[in-house]
Amino acid sequence: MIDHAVYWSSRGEASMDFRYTPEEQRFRLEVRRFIAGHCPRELTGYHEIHAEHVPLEMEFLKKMAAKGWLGAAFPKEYGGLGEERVPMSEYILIDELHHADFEGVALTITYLVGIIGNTLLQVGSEELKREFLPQMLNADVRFAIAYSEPDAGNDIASICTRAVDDGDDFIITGHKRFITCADTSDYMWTLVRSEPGTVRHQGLSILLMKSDLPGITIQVFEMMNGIQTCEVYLDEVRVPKRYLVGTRGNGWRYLMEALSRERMTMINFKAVSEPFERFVQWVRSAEMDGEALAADPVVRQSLANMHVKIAGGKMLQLVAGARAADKNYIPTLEAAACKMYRAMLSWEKATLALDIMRSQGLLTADSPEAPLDGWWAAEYGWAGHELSGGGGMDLNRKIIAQQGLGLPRWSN
Amino acid sequence: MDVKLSEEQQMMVDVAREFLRATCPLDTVRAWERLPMGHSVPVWKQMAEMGWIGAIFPESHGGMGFGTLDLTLLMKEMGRVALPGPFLSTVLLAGCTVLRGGTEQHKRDILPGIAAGDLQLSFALGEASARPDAATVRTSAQRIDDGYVLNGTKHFVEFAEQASRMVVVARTSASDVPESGLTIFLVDAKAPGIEYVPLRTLALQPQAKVLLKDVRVRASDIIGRVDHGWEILDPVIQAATAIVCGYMSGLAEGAHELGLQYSKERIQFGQPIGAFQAIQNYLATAWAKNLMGEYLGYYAAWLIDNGLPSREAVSTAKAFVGYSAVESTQLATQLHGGLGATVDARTTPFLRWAKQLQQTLGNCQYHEKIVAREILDKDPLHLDEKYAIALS
Repeated sequence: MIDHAVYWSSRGEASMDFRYTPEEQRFRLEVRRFIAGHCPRELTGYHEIHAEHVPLEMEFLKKMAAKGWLGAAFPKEYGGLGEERVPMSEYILIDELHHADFEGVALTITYLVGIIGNTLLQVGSEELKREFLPQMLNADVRFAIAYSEPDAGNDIASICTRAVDDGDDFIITGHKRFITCADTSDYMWTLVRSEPGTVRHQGLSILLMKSDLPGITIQVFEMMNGIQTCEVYLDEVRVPKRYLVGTRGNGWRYLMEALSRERMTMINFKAVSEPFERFVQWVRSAEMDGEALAADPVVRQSLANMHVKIAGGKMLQLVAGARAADKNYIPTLEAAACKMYRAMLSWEKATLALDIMRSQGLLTADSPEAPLDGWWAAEYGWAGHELSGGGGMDLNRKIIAQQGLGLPRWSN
Repeated sequence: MDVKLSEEQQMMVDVAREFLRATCPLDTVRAWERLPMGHSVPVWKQMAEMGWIGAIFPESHGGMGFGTLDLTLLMKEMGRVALPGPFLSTVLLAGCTVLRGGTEQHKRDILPGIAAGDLQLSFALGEASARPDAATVRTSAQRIDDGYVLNGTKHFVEFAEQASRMVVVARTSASDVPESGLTIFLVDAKAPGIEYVPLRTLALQPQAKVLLKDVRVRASDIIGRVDHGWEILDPVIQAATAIVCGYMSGLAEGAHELGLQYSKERIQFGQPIGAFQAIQNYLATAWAKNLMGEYLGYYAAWLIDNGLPSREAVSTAKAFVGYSAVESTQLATQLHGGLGATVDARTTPFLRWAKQLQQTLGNCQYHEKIVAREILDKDPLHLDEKYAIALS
């Protein structure tokens, strides 16, 4: 390996540079080795989002926590590394997990640290911070995010789950849907309507709700891509008021800021580019009907075209990541663009791969003859999820149009 | 890792944007396109006075020592107002060929004149389809006593009739490898045996088909070594392609702004058309693609400046921007409705230029062929492990 520091011109004033600093690169390669050495193969892909894999995942997260990496950017008093962390360490960790095909683990960390941990740090009471942050950064606790409902999917602001003020407690009643990992969580990060008579974005609050409280019923169901998610029924669940996050009625703002900050960690383009590169490597030596695929001009052109499109997405993520390194900048638009564009490409790249593999591509992992272990047949199912999770493609276009480009809302 | 411009670059961009906004209103730009010269000579001179024309030349030759990325940023500003001019032919291709391969004497003769805005050169590489590759060259150069004799036809030579000299690429030796056996000649544009057949193109840029019949050139007018011209031309074309991506990103952005502005003003069905989700989706998607294209161009330019492997990145950028700039300018036209289809629509220069530049220096299909070779036939580069590049 060439010592890249040779190519690193001294970094006086800020200027455009697409390289990691020597410090970042050292950290990145260390993380890469650590993941290769410690993350069990059972956790590969998104398919690990399954109850039976939880103990394995927690064991791995504990090892990461021991390195101080789980919440590297958090202040030392809460268990982070504070100013001693490597710049961009969060971005690098998540990126390397994606590089090694551990998307599900990356997602767990994003929820735990990126969304919940960061929001607690920004707006939580000192009491909540002291209770939860050290546990989170030590991987002692699991969370699920409970926002969506049967009638509130992309339109989260229309949730009906209500929290009724009752002395020292709130009493929660409602129905949450698509609450992934609720069945294996210790707590649910729950969006509720706490102010009676309010509509839409007003009057919402976030509560930390213990997952085994009386009145909570959790039902697991399966998605097309094999992952599990849950229905959560809340029937007069009593939650102490000290588990309110921030101030009452400000839930919407916390939710949006966290999503903007984390959408791009959730939406890592390596989840598109790495499988595509593996596919290209496969095409180089593959034969179909006695002919080399790599010699077919149509195959070559369509792979190159997809490579070009994916390069755009990788660049978008890099721009968003670099801009977000400035903690005062919330990359709302770049993150929304990442989400929208990855959704566009997910299905497109899976469709192309299946086309190039002809009928062989339809073989699932159960078929011994399946090329690439049937990965692409499964991926075609996953891509459907990709369009909706974390806010649909069209919702993200709306965010860009209205928040970024200043276009007006439609009125009747 | 950092995607911000340096303070100097930001200042340069701010100054350029302000100058071009004040000097090149859209109506004026459209009028310049229809001049016989195809652009505004006074503005060209003004830009020369500010040092822009020769910016990429070293200070010793009348320039400012700009890098590829610096010039990409500057060209993006020109693209934002669809400013026409012989920048590609005179500076990026002909000038940079002299800079890279010429003798000190050639450089002294040519570069300060270009930088001052007094001297125009044309660049005659492509034939028939004007692809920027070696295989296209059939024009021959035969050795005679004190020089060479050129015969052949060059197509789509930009600003050919205004230039006083022409860089001509011709084949001096037959070879199985198209890249070898090519030689670069610096030809007097009025030399006997040269005939120009004017071509008017989609973007209204004056071009010509150049017929070369027994055109004599002195041996001292060869740039670089005989038979080894491609070694000079290849990096020149690569850098020019990255920089043109900047101009095309500017076109895309300028057109997007026009479309966006109009969507906020135009009332139909009782409200601004920009309130409709269909319109918002278009504009949001185009915004995102323009951002990607812009930075893919910067990335290609930055790789070149740092001497890192750049062929795949240059072709990726040109293909991506080829698509995104055309889409963005088509969208702006579409959003203007019937007005967008009128001759004098403010979006038309953007629409015409994006398409023309998509075809210039290799279109999307051409660059995808190169990308296919890079990803399917060559060993992977592992830029992330070798050079710590964050994008790979």
